[in-house]
Amino acid sequence: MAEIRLEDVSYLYGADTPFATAALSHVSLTLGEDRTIGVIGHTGSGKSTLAQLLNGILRPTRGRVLLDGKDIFADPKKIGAIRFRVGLVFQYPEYQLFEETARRDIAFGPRNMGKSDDEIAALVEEAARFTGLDEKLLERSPFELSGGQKRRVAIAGVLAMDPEVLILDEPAAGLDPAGKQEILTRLRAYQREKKKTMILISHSMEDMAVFADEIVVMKHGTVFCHDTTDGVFSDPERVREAGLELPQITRLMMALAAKGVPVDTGIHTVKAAKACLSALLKGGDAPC
Amino acid sequence: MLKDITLGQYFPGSSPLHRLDPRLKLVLMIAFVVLIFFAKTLLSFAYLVVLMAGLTALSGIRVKAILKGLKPVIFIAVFTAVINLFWTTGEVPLVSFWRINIYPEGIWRAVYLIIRIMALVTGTSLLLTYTTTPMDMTDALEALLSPLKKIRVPVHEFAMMMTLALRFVPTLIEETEKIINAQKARGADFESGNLLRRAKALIPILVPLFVSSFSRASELATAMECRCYTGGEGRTRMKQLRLTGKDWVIFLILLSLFAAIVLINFIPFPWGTVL
Amino acid sequence: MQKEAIITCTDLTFRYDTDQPAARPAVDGVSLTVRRGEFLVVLGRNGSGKSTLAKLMNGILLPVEGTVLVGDMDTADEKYLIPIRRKVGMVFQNPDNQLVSNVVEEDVAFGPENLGVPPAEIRRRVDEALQTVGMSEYAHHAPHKLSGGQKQRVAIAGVLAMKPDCLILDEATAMLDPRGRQEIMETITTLNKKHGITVVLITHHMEEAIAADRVVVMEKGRVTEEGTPREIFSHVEKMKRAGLGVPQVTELIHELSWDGSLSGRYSFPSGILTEAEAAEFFTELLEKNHG
Repeated sequence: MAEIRLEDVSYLYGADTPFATAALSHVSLTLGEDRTIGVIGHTGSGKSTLAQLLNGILRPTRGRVLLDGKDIFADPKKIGAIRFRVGLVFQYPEYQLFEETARRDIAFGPRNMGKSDDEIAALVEEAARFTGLDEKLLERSPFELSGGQKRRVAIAGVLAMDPEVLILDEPAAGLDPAGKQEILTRLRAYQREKKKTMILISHSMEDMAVFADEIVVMKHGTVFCHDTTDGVFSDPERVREAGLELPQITRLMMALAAKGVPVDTGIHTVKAAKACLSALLKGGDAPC
Repeated sequence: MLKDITLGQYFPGSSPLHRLDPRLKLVLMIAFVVLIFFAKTLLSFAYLVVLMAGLTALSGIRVKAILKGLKPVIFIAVFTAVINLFWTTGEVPLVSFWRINIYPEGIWRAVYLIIRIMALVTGTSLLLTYTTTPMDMTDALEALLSPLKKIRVPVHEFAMMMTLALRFVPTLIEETEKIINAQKARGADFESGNLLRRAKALIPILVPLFVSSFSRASELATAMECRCYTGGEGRTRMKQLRLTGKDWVIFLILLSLFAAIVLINFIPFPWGTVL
Repeated sequence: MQKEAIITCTDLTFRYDTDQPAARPAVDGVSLTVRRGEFLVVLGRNGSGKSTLAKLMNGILLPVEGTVLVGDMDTADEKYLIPIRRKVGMVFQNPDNQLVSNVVEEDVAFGPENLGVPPAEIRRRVDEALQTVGMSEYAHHAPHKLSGGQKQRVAIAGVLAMKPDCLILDEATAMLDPRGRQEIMETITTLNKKHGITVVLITHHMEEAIAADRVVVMEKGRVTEEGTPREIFSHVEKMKRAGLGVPQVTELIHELSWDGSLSGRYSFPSGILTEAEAAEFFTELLEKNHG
């Protein structure tokens, strides 16, 4: 359990060259504990830069990143310890696999932490359980696994460090709908059970509508809005302004509202839409 | 950052250097590399610096970008320079302490070497990689080496391999950086420990890099097959190399400017040492 | 009248491990015809064999059993290899692994150069192809500095420059962000509708199937469904079981139809795919209800 705070953070790429471009400018943000936070934006909105700033892979050009109130770069030599506390899973993380077996690959992080063999075994076991990898798979070479399995091994490799904050950059990129559903559901369950702070970087409002408690919308390197998921969807037009596509179900609600049907345009899941419309169809007059 | 490496990159443009026939550029480059080793006096090395400045101006490429391209060789240049500084003996030492004597000759040698290495890199980059598209370069190489086809040297294949290697340099650099960051995020430590430990720390980078390079190579081969590639035979080129009078003029001017390196050696000059 | 067949697959079987005949083949007895001018989507999960099927269609892979005819040329006949690949162009998943040159226009020229097209004609084709995919202003750029969607458009231009009849996109949208995917969808729609190029889109994004003329669903190496998008998506349960999903409004109407107290009073049509259709349906229903 931990809280991450950004204080007026800016990040420039190529800061010492004439081609310096601001990837992030003046971002202040508090990412609270025990919840799933979706960070959404277009490519180039600064969301991936944000992810790498949170665990010190990148160092802010200006401003500070605070983990439980302490600047993560207070002692730059100890940034390694921060990376164990703030786990980061990159996009397409299966490209990082290198060990002979999936088990050994997952153990790479905890081993670097200097954990004992018993501790490592327990951590790997737990990470494998959360990502749904069975015993037999763990003994196989990661290179023999299917795409979806590789992805889960790579994610398990970060979970096994038991970080307080877990950041995942597009964990479902390139997976098919069922694969995406599975990985996001498992991650959500992990976050709930372990009461972690989980940050999901995503392109998709539709996915985050279902899986996130809070949403941060990024636009041109700044925070466009940050609210609970319900709060963000209470003004769907604003989401559109950020250039993001709304879930189809929200678009339906907006179309119905435009035709004078008394529905809540903030509805963003099929489940909520079903409840609302079946009430109306059963003769209810109350807006929903 | 790895991404900042500009060495081996092409800078789009339409300067006289960009437009010069790549075959002539290749010949010029070879001439330049040879002639550079004939520079012996301070004056000729000074001329080399002027020559580089002139070529840069002619290419229209920003000085900053060129300097950035030199970054990766600075270490080698300084290293060789330092060795020469300490190991060159002369007549009267300038500084001497403990068992080390530094002679003015050593200083001159060090300076010469730095200029030579820098000129070598700048000159070849400007004449070739910075101003010539890889495809043009391949064509030029193929054209110049084509006599070797008669003795069954696979000239086209060699040229194609070079093009592809150049095409994939930026991609692989990006990939390496990504893998390094991903392993750093899992606590990999590349900076501490002795040589053996550091070498071992590279495994988590090298294995994924090899694996992905192989899969890239096989995907690329499939993609090339899909685009009807069957080797050099029967292939035409969109851009035909055609030598114009203008090409020859620029070529001859540059060639004589390069040749001047040798002649300048004969001008007597009081300062500097002679290599 | 049925349009002329451009690719005909008959009883195709393919396995990667030929020494393990017991293992399930990657493609298992597939028969499929691609008709001239159509926009066909092959939908399936990762590992369903859809990508293997694509590679069988232009002779990158050769069937263990069955035949693939492009026009009347058999892909197994080596002498047709080049004419087949010229006719049936292919764009792959990873844009970085299919571009051969550091300069966009030189990459586009690669195909026609291999075919031995005269230089002036190549120049014309390259310019035209880049124009068609809207990448003319990037002709002299380096591909690695472009966005994913732009790279894939360059790859498409590279195929167009060969003047193909048919374009196969083998999961070409899988690695793109929503904007890039939209760019590709717009580009291929134009190619299909305006230029009459047959398009076969291999994907797992069911949204991309909505605009298709015909959809084929693959599961475990077999074709399990075939029909218009409306027909395919009306089988909500089946699609979910296949791990593919349906549009949210289709799912909503399906869910409502399972509510006993509602299904008695209303009839819920299957095959509503867009929010506009759904909005119309619900307003009509509610108006009747209150009126």
